[in-house]
Amino acid sequence: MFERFWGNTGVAEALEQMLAQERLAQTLLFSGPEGVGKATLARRLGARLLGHAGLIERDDLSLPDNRETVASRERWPSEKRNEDPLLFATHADFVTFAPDGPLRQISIQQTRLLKDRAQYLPNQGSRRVFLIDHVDRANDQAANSLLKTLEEPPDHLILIMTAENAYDLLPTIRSRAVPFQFAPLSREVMHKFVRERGLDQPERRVLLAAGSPGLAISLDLDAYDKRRAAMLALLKTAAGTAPFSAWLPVSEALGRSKSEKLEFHLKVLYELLRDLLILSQNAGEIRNEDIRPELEALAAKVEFRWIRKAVARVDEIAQLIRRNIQKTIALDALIMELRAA
Amino acid sequence: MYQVIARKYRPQTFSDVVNQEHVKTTLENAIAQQRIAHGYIFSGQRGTGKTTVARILARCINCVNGPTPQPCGVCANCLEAAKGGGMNVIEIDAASNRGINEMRELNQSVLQRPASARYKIFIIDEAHQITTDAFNALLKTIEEPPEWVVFILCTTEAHKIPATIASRCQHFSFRSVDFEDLMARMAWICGQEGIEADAEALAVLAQAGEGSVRDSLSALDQAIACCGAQLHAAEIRALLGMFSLESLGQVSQALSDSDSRRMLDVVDELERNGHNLQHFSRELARYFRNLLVARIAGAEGAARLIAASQVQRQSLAEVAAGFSEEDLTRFLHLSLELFRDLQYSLQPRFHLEIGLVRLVQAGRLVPIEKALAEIQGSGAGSAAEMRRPANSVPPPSSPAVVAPKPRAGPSPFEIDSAKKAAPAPGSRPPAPEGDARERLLAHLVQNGLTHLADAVENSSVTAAGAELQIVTAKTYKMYLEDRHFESAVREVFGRPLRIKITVGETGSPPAAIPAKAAAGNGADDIASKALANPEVQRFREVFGGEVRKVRNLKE
Repeated sequence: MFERFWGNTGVAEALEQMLAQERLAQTLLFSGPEGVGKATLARRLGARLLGHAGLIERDDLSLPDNRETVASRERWPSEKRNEDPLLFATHADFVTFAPDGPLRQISIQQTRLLKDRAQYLPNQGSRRVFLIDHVDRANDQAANSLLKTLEEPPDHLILIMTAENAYDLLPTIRSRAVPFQFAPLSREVMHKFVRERGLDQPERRVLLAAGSPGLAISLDLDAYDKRRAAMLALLKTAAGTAPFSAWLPVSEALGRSKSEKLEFHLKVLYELLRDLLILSQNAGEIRNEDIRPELEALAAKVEFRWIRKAVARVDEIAQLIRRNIQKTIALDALIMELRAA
Repeated sequence: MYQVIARKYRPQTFSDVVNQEHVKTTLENAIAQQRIAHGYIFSGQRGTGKTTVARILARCINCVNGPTPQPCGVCANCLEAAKGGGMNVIEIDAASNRGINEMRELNQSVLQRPASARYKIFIIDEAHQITTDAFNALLKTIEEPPEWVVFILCTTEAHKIPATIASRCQHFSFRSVDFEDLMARMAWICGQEGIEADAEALAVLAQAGEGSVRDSLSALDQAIACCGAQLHAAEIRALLGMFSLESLGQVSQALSDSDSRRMLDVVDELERNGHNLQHFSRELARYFRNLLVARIAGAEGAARLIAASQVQRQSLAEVAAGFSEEDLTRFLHLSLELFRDLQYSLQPRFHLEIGLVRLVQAGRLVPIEKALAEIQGSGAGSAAEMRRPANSVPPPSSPAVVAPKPRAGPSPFEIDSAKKAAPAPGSRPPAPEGDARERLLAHLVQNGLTHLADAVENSSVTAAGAELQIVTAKTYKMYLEDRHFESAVREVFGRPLRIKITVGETGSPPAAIPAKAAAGNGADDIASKALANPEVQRFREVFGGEVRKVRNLKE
């Protein structure tokens, strides 16, 4: 078995079987929600094939060093990024291609490099493993240029792609890979996992991570609380339980900070809206259990139609972010519209 | 190294190719008659055999036994074509060589004769990615290439090939593969691989491919990896995340019980079992489509129009009988919308939840006859409830709970009820005196007459017989002496009322005007005037804070 791999035993066993029967397909597609261990399993599989698990684990993209590498490239001019496409290869035969640049996309330069590198024979041993992380982030050109390599990789090469949603990919990519679907981890496994890692506030982490160990680790609870307070103020103002003036300082603070990305806030906002939905339907447990009374008060004020409208508007904003809209104005407009509703 | 089944069993002769008779026959005849065109376009959905046929064609043309529909498969030229390129058969990945410079190079290499075979064959795969410039650079070459050149363009998106290129080539469009033929092919492959698979298991795999051979074979690879040498339908269905009628039936059950809580449970279960939610929403839309067809078409029609077994059709018909045609149409519409929403969603689970609850909330349509009967029975009062089916639970966040907010405008429910109550034809609303102001307010807000709404909000309004008495501040008086207001009153009360406006103290005085606003002092007068302006007041109320200074712009 793959050591210390949590959950998704079905997938792990299937890979195990493939190895045992020597039927490991050369093109694999791992799909499933964020942080459930797709890239982790890919690395473990790589380690099984190539050895040197320690070296391979260093290419974990969630490690602070690697995050820093990607973040610093964001400030590079695009020409420089194109000249030096992003890849991680601490182990010479295990190469990770990750989304790059301010938009976090996989570029055609990277896929061209991948095609080149694919032809090289292994440094040691008989195989090479390429991991294309977040292949759903490849733009149209880049995705298309992968097709031939995915279909007929050189004999020594194993290609593993990860994507949150397999249906986001080109059908032509999907059809070339043997697919594996990852599921969120069950509550019990998550508890065990959090306990073993010795994380703080285990209960809250388990609730907020929603079955994703990667999230449970990387979750910065302080930052989360801050964002949540901001988004709660937004919802209260939008629902009409707080005056607009309560939102203004939050909005200004948001506008001032350059580093805070709106995406993270929207994610929290979605979660709060989801809790409101659950509360208004009297169903199941909510993620933000610690502020239940506040949410309940809010849920009593709003109707289902209001929630639905809010979600539709937030969707719109989430799409417009890519066009670089003004975040404060967008949120102000959201509030005004929902107040009128 | 293990090769996936789709590659290992890539057809090597025309007879191995599944379906595509129209392509195979035409090409075989063309080869037999020595009428080989210099340009071909192969288009069609993924996994239908475009690249495969291109390679077979290359072999047929270049085989040492002369252009023949039955290539030997052992000569150097045949082997070269099969492995995807060499000196004479040049396979180009157009997705990574899509620019004009690559095409210029291509134009150059076209001029050189083939190294060791009869023809020089260019297989340009993923041709839809070639840029317009590059295509245009190719035009002259593709129109009149040297006699030794054959171009084969393969693409999944034929519409991206410019008409000028298409007119210079023969175009073959590949069709989705037939279910039966695909099953037969997979059965043969399983036999070769020593795998036992029952017919239903193969049917599930073939279905998963949706007419693409490669998709089905990828699924077969996955199935063999998970289940070993014995394939059974149930395991494979679970593995591929296919949905049985039962799991979709839960949704329709929850719908007929108007149970939104159950909907949330359905989503929870899907997520826990690692199903792809987008896939589910697609299946759900298909399910509602099938229900609708079962409802409309009757037994014989359904047999033809629904791709399902006899037993499944039976249960579909039973479920469909519980809903009206209109309901099913609406559910289908909403589920299609849900599918579209999920496609770009960052929060698929939440979107699915909200979409399913929306299905429940949309409820069922009440037939118009029944609704009319209800109105006649209980008067206009029930008009507001009309939207809600009799058997549905009222939403927990009932609007009645909403505490009346002093200034935040009426709730949607109030607006709605005002709208419904006011113009109800044939029955004059009784117009209870107490809410005259509320209804007026709602009407004004709804019609965008916010200045009037503001005025009414700051006045006391009493309807007494044919007279509407309004006590208001002086500043609002001129607002209300307006024909817009008159017509609004007429619409709300259903008859023209005499409007009597008195200036005086109202119940809720406008937000405090600074006490120092005494008459006589010019600046103060202006300040008080400005502060009394309803727009200014509204501003202060929304944003809070204090007014430090008022400046007269005329000075």
